[in-house]
Amino acid sequence: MRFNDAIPGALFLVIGIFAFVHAGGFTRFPGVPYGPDLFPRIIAVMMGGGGLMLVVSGLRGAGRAPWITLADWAREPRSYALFFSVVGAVLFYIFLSGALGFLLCGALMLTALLMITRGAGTIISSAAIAVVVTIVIHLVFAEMLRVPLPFGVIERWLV
Amino acid sequence: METLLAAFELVFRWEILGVILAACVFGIFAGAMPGISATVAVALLVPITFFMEPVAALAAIATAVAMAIFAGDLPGALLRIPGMPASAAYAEEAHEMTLKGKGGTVLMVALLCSVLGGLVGTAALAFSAPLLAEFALEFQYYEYFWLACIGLSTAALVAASNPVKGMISLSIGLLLATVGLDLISGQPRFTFGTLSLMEGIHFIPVMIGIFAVAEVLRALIHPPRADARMARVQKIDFGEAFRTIWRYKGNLGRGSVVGTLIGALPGAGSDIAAWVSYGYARKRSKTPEKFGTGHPEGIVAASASNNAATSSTWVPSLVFGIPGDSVTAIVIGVLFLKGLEPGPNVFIENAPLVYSIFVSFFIANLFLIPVGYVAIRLASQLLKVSNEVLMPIILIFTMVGAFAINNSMMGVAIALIAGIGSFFMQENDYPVAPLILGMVIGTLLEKNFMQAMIAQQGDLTAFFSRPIAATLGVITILIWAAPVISAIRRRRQRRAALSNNSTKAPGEAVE
Repeated sequence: MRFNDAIPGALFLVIGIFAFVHAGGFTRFPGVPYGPDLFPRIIAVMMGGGGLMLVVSGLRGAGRAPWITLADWAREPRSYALFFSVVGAVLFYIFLSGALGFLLCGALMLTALLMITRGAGTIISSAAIAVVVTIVIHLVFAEMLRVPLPFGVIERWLV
Repeated sequence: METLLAAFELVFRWEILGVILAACVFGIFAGAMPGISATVAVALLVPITFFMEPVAALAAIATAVAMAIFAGDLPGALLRIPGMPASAAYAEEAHEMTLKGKGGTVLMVALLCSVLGGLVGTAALAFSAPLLAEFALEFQYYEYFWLACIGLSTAALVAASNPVKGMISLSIGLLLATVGLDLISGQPRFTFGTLSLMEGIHFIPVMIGIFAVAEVLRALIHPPRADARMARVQKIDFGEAFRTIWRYKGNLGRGSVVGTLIGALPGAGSDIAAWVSYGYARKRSKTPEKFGTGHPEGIVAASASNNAATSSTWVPSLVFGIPGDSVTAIVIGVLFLKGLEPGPNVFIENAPLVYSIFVSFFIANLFLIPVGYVAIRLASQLLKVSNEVLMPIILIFTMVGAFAINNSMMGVAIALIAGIGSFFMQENDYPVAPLILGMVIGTLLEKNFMQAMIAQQGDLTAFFSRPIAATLGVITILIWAAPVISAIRRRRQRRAALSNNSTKAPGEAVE
């Protein structure tokens, strides 16, 4: 999905202006010739200036690019389904792993995602892959590397 | 010599050799998958290296990259889809040889040339880095400030196809680096009153998002168009492989040297090295017309070249702390995490550690021969692993990795946001390497500037008062001026072309 350069350009221009103004509120430290606002402001000028150049080049000329160009993938509904299922899987994990624990949450998420990428008919093999992968990751991160992965239903039962 | 022995002692332990072997297998697998580049492989490896001692962590990264660069040749030769940008230069040529039934042999040639090129690059790294470090000991804030500027500017302006987009990508990274408590004044910046932003945004979840999460989205949405069932096991003719390398030994040497030199430049890595060496081999060839029809001459040069560049690209990173590409930017971030500030001092304070990196590169290149041979034999099975299974598994791995750095879900959320952002940036031709470079070097750049200015009481001319600093400063300004000058020149040419047309037009009307 390609945007006309003017759209992200305007976004970067706004972020640049905001960062520049916001940095003005950083208090100076006595004895330091340049305050903590100097670098953020230089960066804000770089970003805003770049954004402005993109706005100008995006709007100018007879051969102006359309606001949004859809690439081949963006014409297919399946692409959106894949995109949002990946994003949804991560959000599901962020919000529910605390309650469900890593093993259950990870296995559920992975089963669902594999069924979306491979087709709904693969439920048994997808669930099998998901369970094996979740257990391997649990062994590597929680047991070997001692990462405190979210503790939940199955973990409580195992201990 | 003593340091070298100490380095050998550090590396020749069962744990480290085991880590190197595991990284070999992982690197080969990752490199052979068209969705996973060397950078993605490193991004996936970092959360695990986070828990290792420094020698093991650096050995694992160095090994995985060296393997992945070779393994990119496997799908390049067998399916004509390069597994890595570094293999793209000769994927077609190698595929033509596969069609002639010489796929196994050409991969063996590529493997041996990769090993030899890698060894040349490692030797160059081991000899030049300590010498350069001795020279760099004289450097102060001023020189480091300019070096950081050169590193960032080449990545944003020279290496990117659109300098404006490169500059914006860099400014996003720099801005993210300023979030948190300011090092000099202790002031919170861009924290908006949230406690969790006080310690700043950690670069590892951002990096995992930018490279790995975005790659999962890209690989699922734009699947590479090739039929893995087409990959058949190919016979390896060892005699022919050795004869080919011997016949083109000049190309092997030139490719290795060119790769080493290009790798050592900031902003240029193994993919540029492969293209340049392939082009140069064709130019020097007695039979340039055979290139593109399944002729091994260019493959010898380019596959040696990309592996040589993989080692030498560590030179600017280790000596000056200025990474040349995104992989070494991640390496620098890992060094900081281990409490080691890269730069000439690390060669004095931690010489055995630095030498152990050279030793691991050396061992990795030797391990490449057996592991690579097995990979060639198993290539047709390896390529059958489908993205539909692999990508969801990578996704859950990235989530656990992003969580493990601070044991917080904040990391997973940052990785997701960075991944979506990076996906849209890449769709719109924004390079993402400058972003990660900016995030890693940004703090260093500001710290050097501020410390220099405190020492000089705000006198900016100090940045030009020492000869080396002045030279580096002039180079930086030239890099900044180059895109402006070329834009003005382009506009003049266009105007000249337009006025030529308008003077011609009435004449044509008369005719």
